[in-house]
Amino acid sequence: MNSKRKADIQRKLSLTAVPRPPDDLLDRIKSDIPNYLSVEAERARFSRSIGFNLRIAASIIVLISIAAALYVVTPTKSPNAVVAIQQRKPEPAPTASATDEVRLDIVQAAPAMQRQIADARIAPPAEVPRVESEPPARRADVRAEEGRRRNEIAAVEGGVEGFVSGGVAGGTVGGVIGGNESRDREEAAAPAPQQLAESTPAPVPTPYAYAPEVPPPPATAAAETRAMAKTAGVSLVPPVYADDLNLAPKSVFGISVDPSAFRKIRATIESGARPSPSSVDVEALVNYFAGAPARRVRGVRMEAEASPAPVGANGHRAILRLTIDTGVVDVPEGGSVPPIAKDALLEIDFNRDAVERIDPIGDSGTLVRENALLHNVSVTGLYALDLRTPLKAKQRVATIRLTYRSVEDGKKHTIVHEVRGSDFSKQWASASRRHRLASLGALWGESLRSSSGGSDVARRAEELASQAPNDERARELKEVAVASSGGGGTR
Amino acid sequence: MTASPWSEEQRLLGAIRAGDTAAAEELVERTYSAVFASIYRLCGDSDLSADLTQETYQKAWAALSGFDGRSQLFTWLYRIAYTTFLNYIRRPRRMTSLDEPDSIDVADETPAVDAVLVVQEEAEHLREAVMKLPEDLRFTVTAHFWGGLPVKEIARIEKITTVAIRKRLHRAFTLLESMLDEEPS
Repeated sequence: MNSKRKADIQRKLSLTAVPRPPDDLLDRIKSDIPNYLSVEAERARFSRSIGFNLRIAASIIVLISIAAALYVVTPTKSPNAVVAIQQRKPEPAPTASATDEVRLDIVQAAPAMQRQIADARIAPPAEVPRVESEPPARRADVRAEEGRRRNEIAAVEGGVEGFVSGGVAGGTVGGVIGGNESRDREEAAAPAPQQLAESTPAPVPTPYAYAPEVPPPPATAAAETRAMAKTAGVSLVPPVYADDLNLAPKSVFGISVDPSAFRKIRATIESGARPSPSSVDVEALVNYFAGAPARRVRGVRMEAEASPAPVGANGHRAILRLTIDTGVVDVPEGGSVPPIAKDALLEIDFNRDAVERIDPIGDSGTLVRENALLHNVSVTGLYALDLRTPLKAKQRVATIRLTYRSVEDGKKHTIVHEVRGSDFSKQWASASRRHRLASLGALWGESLRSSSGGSDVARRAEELASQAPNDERARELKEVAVASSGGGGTR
Repeated sequence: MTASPWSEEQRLLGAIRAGDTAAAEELVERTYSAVFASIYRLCGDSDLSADLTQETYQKAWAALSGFDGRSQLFTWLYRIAYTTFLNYIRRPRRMTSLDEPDSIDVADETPAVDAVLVVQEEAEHLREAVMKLPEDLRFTVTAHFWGGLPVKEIARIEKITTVAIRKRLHRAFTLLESMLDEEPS
């Protein structure tokens, strides 16, 4: 290698141009600084905590030992023991003292008591008081047993709640990481799909007839939401997120994020009918498929992505996606989702020299101010654009601006993203999966409304699902797109 | 008399370890641009670089108690950033392309932009070549040229001699030259 060539490589390595970091990056990093940086203080706190726990553990062991000793030593007055004493009265026992006799009877009565305890586990709690006089240890045992039963029930309910919150996180998919617990509970209480399958005839996929919306099969919705949460790749909100999920907004910035929209449409399709065009909430479908961010977000984050339209781009039809994600917080039981920002305003300004026609995907078309932008929110809006081609790489196509006042620091923040011609130069297949799912979801919704173009969407959805076999939402989109297109895309 | 960078860094580190959040913020303000730039040179994506920079600091706070202070603070941060980047690219993803939908015709006739694009292409080609280097050479090259770490510092965190680091750089240049001479696929 000659020195000139080496110097050339060194120069190229050293001169790589680097853009400025995003304006909000510094704030994002600072917001991650933990409250307890002090290592020594943490260590001391940890030691204190360990010591405290050890003392509690020692106290519990002492209490249990005392209880066990009392159980062995204290004479019992339980009915079984009395009966046993009475039965043994006729037997001569001249050499044994009364105390020895009672001890012997307690030992003999023990199997009967164990049976009784076992009965208490099965019997309803109302029967427990029939035991007139229980030894303290016995009462403690029954209480412990009841506690265990409660824990088991709580564990089962915890599973349900965990699923609910999981469902919520996925169900918001693009909506709010949250959801409607009461609705999910109603769904959980409804008959299982097997029962439905037994009681109703198998759906006939085609021909479609417009039909009123069919409520989603509950267990399917459960699995669906769980799968969505898994697909979303976010840390689910713990089970305590539960009781106030009615607070989940149905729209953010005027964009519908109703998490139930997809379930209703899918249920209608699965029942063999076709949803009526007016019932198809395309914005909500976009948000369902756009989902939550792949990584946990802190603060407020804006994403903008552009690509050619997935079908029928014709060299000028394009899709512009903008997504706002807010930081995820755990919400305590009975609490509500706290706001992360106030007076949030999302604006988009198109350059008419670059864009010939703008079609907001969905019904609202107008972005509205959010007085209180909550945590745990992901909202996606799409625009279908007809571009004036050829575009210049640096030509501004749109400027997206999000302004808000942070609840944490009270300061006004602005995030600006400028979309340029070069952003549209990539192929649709090179776009992020979130972008592809959102845009295909939109097209699928539009095809349900117009009853046309479904097969193209189905074909794209099949391709996407085959590219990402572990993506539950891609699989769902493929299934519904194929079903609603009349049986299949082009393979 | 002003404090040396080393003693200044030790002061900052001591304050952070004592729980001073303001010192932690000062550390972030001093270093985040460089960390961002290092990651950007590795991945070539601004948004991703921002995310990985944020992740780097999250890991740094968690690992602060394990930092022995023998290397410079930025060297330690760079190592975390580099590992964060490697973890990112090693995550499985399936982003192979679907068949071609119509693409948007984007053109820019101005020569200046063309020149910029050529430079960008060259930079991208070089970045790809660096990414293909064996791990030890890749870390050495990126740490030295993109992280701005001196050879001595790299030798310290790699626990080898500076001579060995220079040998690595030489081998890396040889490999890079052969890769860059190949036609881009």
